[in-house]
Amino acid sequence: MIRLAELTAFKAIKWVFPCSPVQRQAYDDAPLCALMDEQAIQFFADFSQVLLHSTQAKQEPALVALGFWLRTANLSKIRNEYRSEKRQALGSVVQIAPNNIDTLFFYSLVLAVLTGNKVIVRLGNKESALSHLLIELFTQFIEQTQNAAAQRICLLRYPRNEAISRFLVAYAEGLVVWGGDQTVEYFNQLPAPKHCNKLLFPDRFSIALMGEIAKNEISHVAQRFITDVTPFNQQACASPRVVVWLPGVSESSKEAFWDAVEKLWKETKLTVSEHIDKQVYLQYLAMTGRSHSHVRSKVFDVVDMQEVNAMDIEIHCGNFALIQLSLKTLQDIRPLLIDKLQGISTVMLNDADKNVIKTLDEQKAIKRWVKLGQSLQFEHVWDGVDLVFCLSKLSNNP
Amino acid sequence: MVLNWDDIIQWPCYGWTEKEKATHFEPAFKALNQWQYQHCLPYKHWVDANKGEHKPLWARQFKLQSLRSIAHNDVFKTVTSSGTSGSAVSQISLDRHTSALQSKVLTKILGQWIGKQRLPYLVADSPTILSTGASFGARAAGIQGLSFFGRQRAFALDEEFELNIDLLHAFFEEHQGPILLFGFTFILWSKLLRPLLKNNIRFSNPNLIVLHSGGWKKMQDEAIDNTSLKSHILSLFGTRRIHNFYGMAEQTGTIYVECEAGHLHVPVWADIDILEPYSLQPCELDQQGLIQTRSLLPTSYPGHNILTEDLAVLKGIDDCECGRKGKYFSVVGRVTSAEARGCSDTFS
Repeated sequence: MIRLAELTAFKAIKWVFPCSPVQRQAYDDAPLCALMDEQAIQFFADFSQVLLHSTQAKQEPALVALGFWLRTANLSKIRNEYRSEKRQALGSVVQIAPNNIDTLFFYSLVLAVLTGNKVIVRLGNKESALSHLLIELFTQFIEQTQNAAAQRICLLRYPRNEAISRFLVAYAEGLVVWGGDQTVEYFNQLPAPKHCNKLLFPDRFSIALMGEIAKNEISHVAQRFITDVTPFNQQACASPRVVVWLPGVSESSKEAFWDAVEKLWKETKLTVSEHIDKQVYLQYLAMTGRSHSHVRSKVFDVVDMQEVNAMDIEIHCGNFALIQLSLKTLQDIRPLLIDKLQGISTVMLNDADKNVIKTLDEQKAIKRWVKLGQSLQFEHVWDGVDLVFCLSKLSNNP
Repeated sequence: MVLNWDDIIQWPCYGWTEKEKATHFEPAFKALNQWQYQHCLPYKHWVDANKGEHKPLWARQFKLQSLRSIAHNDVFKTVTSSGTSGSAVSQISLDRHTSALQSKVLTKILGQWIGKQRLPYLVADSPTILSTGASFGARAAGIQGLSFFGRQRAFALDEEFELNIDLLHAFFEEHQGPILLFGFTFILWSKLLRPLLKNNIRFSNPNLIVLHSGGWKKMQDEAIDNTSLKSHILSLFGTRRIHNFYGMAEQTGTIYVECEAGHLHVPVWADIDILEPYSLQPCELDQQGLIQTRSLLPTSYPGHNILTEDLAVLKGIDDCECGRKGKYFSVVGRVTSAEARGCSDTFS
């Protein structure tokens, strides 16, 4: 078990919580907890109320979604799924949060605490306004609460530092790393205990798979699409980057869809650097000679591609660049069914077609099927990993 | 050969007004555009996608893909540059023709600042930098490129990249007249100037010519700007002949050298435009924007028209107090990468 008292030797560490030596002692003294303990559920349910009532948080759909997910009703539902499992905590769980922070790291923090572990989260060094707000609200809350679950949580930051990373991984019984690929690879190669459960989440991409949309549905579908694409400037792995039309969808439907998206799109903003990333990417696509038209709206770009290869996907940077692919047959979807694929968000996909695609997916690349509009909703089975299961182990005393 | 370089090389380096220059430069550049269009398929795709308009390629494109306008067999050497945006490396393919032209033009430009005479050449780097095999780093290329102006080349740093004080003493003892000192800005500062300041070691040579180039980001971290760098060099060596220059591996040869008045000057074989980052429309004088740099040199790869992620301001045209004609500008820095990057690396 990692003791914070030992970590204080590293001067580069900035403590976000717990900050005082007394609180750190409480962390070191705190025992592990049973799986899905009532008090821990209450702890996050209380924080859910903070999120749902904070005027600032209410402006951020991602934080509202987190607030809803943390309500007792939802957490109890997850608890019930695992009721019959004889499982216990791993011990010390070390989490590396990504820089971009979407809010994913917080969900895995919650599940690590709910599975009874003691958690150390290394927060990113560059913070978005959204993650800053989340961390601020959470630290305010955790400083005040009397709930014992707080004693199993440690949040810290440190600049790139091999010694600290080595130390943390060397004693981690669970290791959760959210991508970039380089970060995942770096932490994966650090020596860890043999029994350490590693939950690695490298870069992924997602696609939207759409069928013929009825005229009166178009606005509604466009709105769901926007919900999935605009948060975090389309940089979240779960946000669709490729729009794939099923065979036979009429050109007029596609056009009507994009018109509706443009009309409903609320104000979004790219930094100069993000804007350049996007322009470089669009230029790259044009230079492949495989793109045959490029529709530019003021806020997003749609590039028609005859076919898509792995590199096209790998260097996609989000920022509202959308590849459009029109399937002639369902088989044409094959090149997208690669390991980097996370999920498929669907509109008007019938079961027969879905089953065909499933049989085409020989490598089991599709890790998630979700309805368009719900792509960014977190599920405790994420990227094919059951977090509750992987953050716990079979109980010693059944 | 696409352009008549026997003629072009005779153009006066800084002697034409912008208007005069355009009458020579633009037709040549147009011919080069056409040549690239015919010889580099990805470049053709790009122009076609823009309905025939020849828009610049982002410098970063050379990190994403291998771009050549010659057959694989004609590649004479490949120059790499890491740059600062990410871990990928630019690959610049040179044939003998382009490589020779680069040296010729570089010689023409630097001759304006150093003179025709070959000078004792002190490199603010370690000799190990040259021994990295077939693929040529930008640092090695720069050091080699300047060798045309040097004789009795000596390296100020040893194999371990530590300052070789004994060598410095001997070098300045032996050469009392003009000397050429060249290095990459941060290495010059951190490995040569800073240790000398720290140990209070000074050499007096008012004819020392210092040339340096490279990014300012690490210099900013140490709160050293161009002015303070110059004053440190003056106090250490007693020279005011200090020239920073701006250039890139994608356009080796056509470099932009800083004059006595502190401005970077555009030679006749190249051109600079400063563009507003979102619209890519030309900026006003003194308005900050991205550097678009055009050069007549690249024929073996489509690097003749490049959009960088460097920020600069155009300071004026034809009227620099140093007397040189054409555009002059100042580099401000680089576009900082976004704070919030999706799936980005915590450790990058």
